[in-house]
Amino acid sequence: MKPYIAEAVIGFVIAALLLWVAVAAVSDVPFVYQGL
Amino acid sequence: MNTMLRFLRERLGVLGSWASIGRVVAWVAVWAVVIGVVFAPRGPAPADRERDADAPPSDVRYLGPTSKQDLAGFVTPPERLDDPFTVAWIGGSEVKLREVSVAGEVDGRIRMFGDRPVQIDAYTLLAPRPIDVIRAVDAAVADGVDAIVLSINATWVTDEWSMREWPNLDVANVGSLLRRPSTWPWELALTSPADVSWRVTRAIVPVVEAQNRLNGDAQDLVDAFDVVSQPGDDPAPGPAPIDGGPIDGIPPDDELDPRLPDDATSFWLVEEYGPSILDDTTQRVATMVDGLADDSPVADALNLRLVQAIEAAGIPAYLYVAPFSPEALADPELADAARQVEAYWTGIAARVESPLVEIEPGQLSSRFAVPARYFDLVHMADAGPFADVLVPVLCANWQRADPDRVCS
Repeated sequence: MKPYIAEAVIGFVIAALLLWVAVAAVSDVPFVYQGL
Repeated sequence: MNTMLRFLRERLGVLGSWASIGRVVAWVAVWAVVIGVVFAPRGPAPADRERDADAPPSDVRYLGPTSKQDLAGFVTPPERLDDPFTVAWIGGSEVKLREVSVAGEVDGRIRMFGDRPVQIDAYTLLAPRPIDVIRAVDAAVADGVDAIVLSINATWVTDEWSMREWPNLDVANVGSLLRRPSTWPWELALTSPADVSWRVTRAIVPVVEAQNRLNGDAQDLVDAFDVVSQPGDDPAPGPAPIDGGPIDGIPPDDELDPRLPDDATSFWLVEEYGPSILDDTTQRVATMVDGLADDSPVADALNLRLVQAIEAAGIPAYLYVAPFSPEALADPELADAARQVEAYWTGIAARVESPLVEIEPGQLSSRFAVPARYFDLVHMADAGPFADVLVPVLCANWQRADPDRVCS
């Protein structure tokens, strides 16, 4: 049982890191003026 | 690294086999979706973005873009239960800039089409390229609109890259370009592998999609700490029309954004050539004329694709070239450029087969009962005279599909 829990935890950590990178990447959007 | 792997394999008993690695990969996918759903805020709504209210007030719903930075999508409008006749008004800042709205003026003049209330939904963004407009047409058709009004930007005769390079738009073009085999080559040309990857990531992981939309809010928060971008207590005076007179019925723009010059078209010239472009009027006009006269096979392909998409929708559609100001048309070079734009769209119109689709390639400002006042080349200070011209032609266009109904 212990290895399966460890696999889920490792998966969670990797997923959280990947999402962090993804969100940080899309946050870096060039400034565009929208006067509409 | 080796120490960590040894710990995981020997102490925890994981990652020691392909089966264990596969389960970890599966957990990564599961957790990514779960985290994305749990942390994603609600979807966007038309009222999320702050806009200057139309003057005079109108019931037009402005559906895009969803934030200052994310121009990738249009907000799906809430469904009305009274069976409205929904009109998609697609275009750029010449349709709606600050409180001046061509769509809003028309909305105030047409309340009903037959027994159906008219609802105008504006799919507008700043300086759209043909591919952006194809996407807007796709969005409007998917929303089930009953008619389309489309403002043609004169610069669409030029190629896709010379107008603007906003790569953050391109993630949205993946779907539009994949719909037809004829535009698959443009899929490769206009979108990068990163665009495709982000498109997929945003579709799968809601929190990434949400973050894209929230960038606008984040930018506003950051701007609050930026002394450079603050207009201060004594902002620049509001824009004045070309004739220099007051604008009837339109309050002065006390909150003029200093990042946008008074002449909104010169914003793009300043972006491209620097502030010195504004010092020499002759060079400035020549630059704009050059941009209007440089036709391109890329523009041909995408403009034909645009018209095909509208024809395929099977609903009434009226496309007009955004009319230049009378002052601009008094310049021989700009007038000549306008004639070239007219000739270009006359050629496109000749290839239209659907009786429901009309293209007006000429300068509608020549039909204005009273001269309209403009801020610059295409941005009107008062859209009323233009709306007076548009109302009968739009109603006639809608009657092509439903002759028994009349506008009121």
